[in-house]
Amino acid sequence: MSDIIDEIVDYASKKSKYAEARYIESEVNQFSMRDGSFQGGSSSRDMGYMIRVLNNSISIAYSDSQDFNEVKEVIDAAVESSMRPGKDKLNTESFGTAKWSVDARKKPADMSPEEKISVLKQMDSVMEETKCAVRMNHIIDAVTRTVYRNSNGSNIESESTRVAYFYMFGIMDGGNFEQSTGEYGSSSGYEYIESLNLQDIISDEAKVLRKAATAHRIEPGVMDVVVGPEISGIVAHESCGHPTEYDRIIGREGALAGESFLKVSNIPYKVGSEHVSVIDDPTVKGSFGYYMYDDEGVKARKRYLYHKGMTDEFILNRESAAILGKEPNGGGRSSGWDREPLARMSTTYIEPGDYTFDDLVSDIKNGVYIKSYTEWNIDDIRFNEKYVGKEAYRIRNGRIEEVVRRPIIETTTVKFYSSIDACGNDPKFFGGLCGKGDPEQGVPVWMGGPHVRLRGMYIK
Amino acid sequence: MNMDGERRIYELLRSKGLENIIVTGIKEDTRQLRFSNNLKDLTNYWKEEYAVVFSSLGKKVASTTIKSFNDLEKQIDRFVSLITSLPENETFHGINSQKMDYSSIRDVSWEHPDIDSMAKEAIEGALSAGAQRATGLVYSRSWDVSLVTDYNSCSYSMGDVELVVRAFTGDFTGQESLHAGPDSINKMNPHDVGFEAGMTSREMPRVGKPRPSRYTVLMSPYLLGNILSYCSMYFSQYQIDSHLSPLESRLDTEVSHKSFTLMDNPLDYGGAGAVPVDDEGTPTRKNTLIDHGVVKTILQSYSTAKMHGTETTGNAGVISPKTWQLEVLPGTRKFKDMISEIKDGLFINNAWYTRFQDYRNGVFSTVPRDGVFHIKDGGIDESWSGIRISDSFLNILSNIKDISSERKRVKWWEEISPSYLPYVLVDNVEISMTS
Repeated sequence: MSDIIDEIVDYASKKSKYAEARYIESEVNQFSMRDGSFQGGSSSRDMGYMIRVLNNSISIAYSDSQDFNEVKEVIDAAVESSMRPGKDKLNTESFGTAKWSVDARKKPADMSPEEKISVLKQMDSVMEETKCAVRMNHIIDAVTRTVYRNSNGSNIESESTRVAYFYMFGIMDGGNFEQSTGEYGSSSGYEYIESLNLQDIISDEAKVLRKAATAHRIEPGVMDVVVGPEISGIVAHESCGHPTEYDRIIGREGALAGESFLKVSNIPYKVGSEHVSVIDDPTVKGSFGYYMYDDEGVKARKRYLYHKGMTDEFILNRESAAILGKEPNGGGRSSGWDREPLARMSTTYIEPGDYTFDDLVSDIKNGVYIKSYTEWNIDDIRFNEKYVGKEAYRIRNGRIEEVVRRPIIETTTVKFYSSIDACGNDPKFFGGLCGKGDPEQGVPVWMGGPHVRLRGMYIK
Repeated sequence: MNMDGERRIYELLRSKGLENIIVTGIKEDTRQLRFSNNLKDLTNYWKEEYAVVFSSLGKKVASTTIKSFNDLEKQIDRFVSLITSLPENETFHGINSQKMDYSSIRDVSWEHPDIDSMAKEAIEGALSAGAQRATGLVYSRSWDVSLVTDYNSCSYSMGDVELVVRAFTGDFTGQESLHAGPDSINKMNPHDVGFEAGMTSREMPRVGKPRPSRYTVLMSPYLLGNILSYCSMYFSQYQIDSHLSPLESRLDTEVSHKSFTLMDNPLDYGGAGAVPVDDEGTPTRKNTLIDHGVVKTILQSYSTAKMHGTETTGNAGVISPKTWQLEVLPGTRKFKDMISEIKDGLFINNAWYTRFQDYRNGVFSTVPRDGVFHIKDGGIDESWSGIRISDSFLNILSNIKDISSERKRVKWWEEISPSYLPYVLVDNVEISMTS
């Protein structure tokens, strides 16, 4: 279907200093269930071209037509606009020719809708057995084929398969309500869903939340905290990944997702203790945000964003790399053919250490173990953040004790990372769709890390 | 695609024995300019054409998107094969089967404005107020819709413009936005939008240390818009049936001050949320959600209405009803008078990242931004940062005590859906802060 891409690049490059085109074709299937009742299914194919041109400024044309004459019309409009003044920095080099794909054993096309829906039915049954008052289950798969060409000779092709499962349930007990949401995703086939042991995850969580619904709130105070991988993951994503996206640092996202507490003038910056490093790595096989070349045809690689408490690399797309005067590092991503590539995360995680979970807990006299979170948010410079515990327990004298209800960490990025004195050896990863840009575009990511211990945090 | 295209898809689906068919053809022409640090970042041009299909086979329901007529029959066969294989949706009760009158749909002819000039004027406005830099975007969208169902067919055209400006003076920010539909496009003044954002960024007085407590908060249309946009789902019958709405069992119950009237108004063509028909071809109408403090309407599609023995409100989503364009009726107080009467409270201009720890009871927190002021004895005392509104939807509604006569058309990114809102004064709002 990408038959006319060479013609497109040729046409656009004759009118521009630089041109590139990306063709994306995707097939997406999804199914949902609520309270034991199947809600519906959808199956859609989408395809189209993105053409970026550089002259006195940058313009992008998007068309879903397969008729070259119709595509030419939007290219002409984009070229005309790019002749007007504006920012004109864009890395234009070629990263050669390559093909990459995702290994999927149980491909979506080989699975019947009945087989996919059976996952939802199983999970709904578990929720019913545990007497959940709210039961929602959703499953989705996507196969995406991409062709990228630029006027400097780059030629990258890929085929990726992704599967994801989302749930929400609610527990009512003693007039109180507790809710849980979970999101799992992978670049692979349905073998990933089978590997998760979802029944046990949901059943165990429902039992604990029933206790939490009638549990006491924690007495506010300063104490030591162990957070679980779900929280270390969201922290890595929100307060390390986002503030190190270089387009935010230079103000490109200022009116939308915001800027960063990191400024061009304050880098390098001491963010935390020497015990903590945060990595973003698109090349983790099986990860939800896996890719070998990004959506701008740049080879992907692992990057330390924070290293031993200091800022290190930034996430760069072609535009922000040119402004920084560095090579792009494979951070240019978009959610589809009709979205511009922005500096984005992939798999962002706190680097594991050597501690077992028991090591982390054993020398805490007075503390709390917050395994997972429900509500969370962060300000637009990624500095003031809040995480409300979902599954949480009191720690006394090195032992995990009773369940506590919704303990709250409301802190700053520097305080959080500076309080870390030990990282566990037990990383786990969770899926998510990271939102950014306007129009909004959610790209699949993994967030993760090990259990992490923080000293002297105020918990309320 | 055009009405012939939708009809062709419809006939093919019908020939395969499908029922409750809705084919919606959409043709979009969108342009956008983004700017930051007073300069254009890029322009984006979109042209897109597709058809969204919803259908059922008995109580089995499915949807798909059709992008081209190449191998159309194959695409339809795949869709039929999918729907045949699905379990039934016991809560589905069909689409609107009444013959509709579309004579009141307006004929909108949209001409794209010069978005380069609009951005330039907005930046100049912010700088003329004394801001150091401006960031934002301008959208102009036009789209044609052709809808064919088992019972009805109609078509219409629509267009809108959106402008967002965030101004910076040092680290202080002010943000304004504006959206306009066909009836107000000529009233847009990008310079004034930029100027106002610039002024807010400059009005930041000395920075104070926030003190967490419960406060009287004067909420700007942006903050109110953020809270109402996130909580508008609570008026959907689907959300109530999911046991995830604090409005469950609160129809005809007083939840707010007598002066507070909230509507869903898709027929206001002055805004970017104007929609003449819903997703199943029912003409939309103005619905009063909260009438003088009392919950008066739960939003329905034909299917949800039938399940609950009531009538559709013209808010399909077939499965999950939704709001189109929120409006709060103006009050009688002037903004200046409202702020002057605050002894110890806050004025908050905007917020983002609203997240719920308890959907069922509407318990959430949101992060104020772009103008957060402590008000003492009727005047601005200091600016605060690092705070949150940590409260619940019902508590905020029940503590509204005053509404301004001034209103703004607000829309911002995914945080505020197109709305037309006043300032509201709310007592007893919980403010938490970073420890």
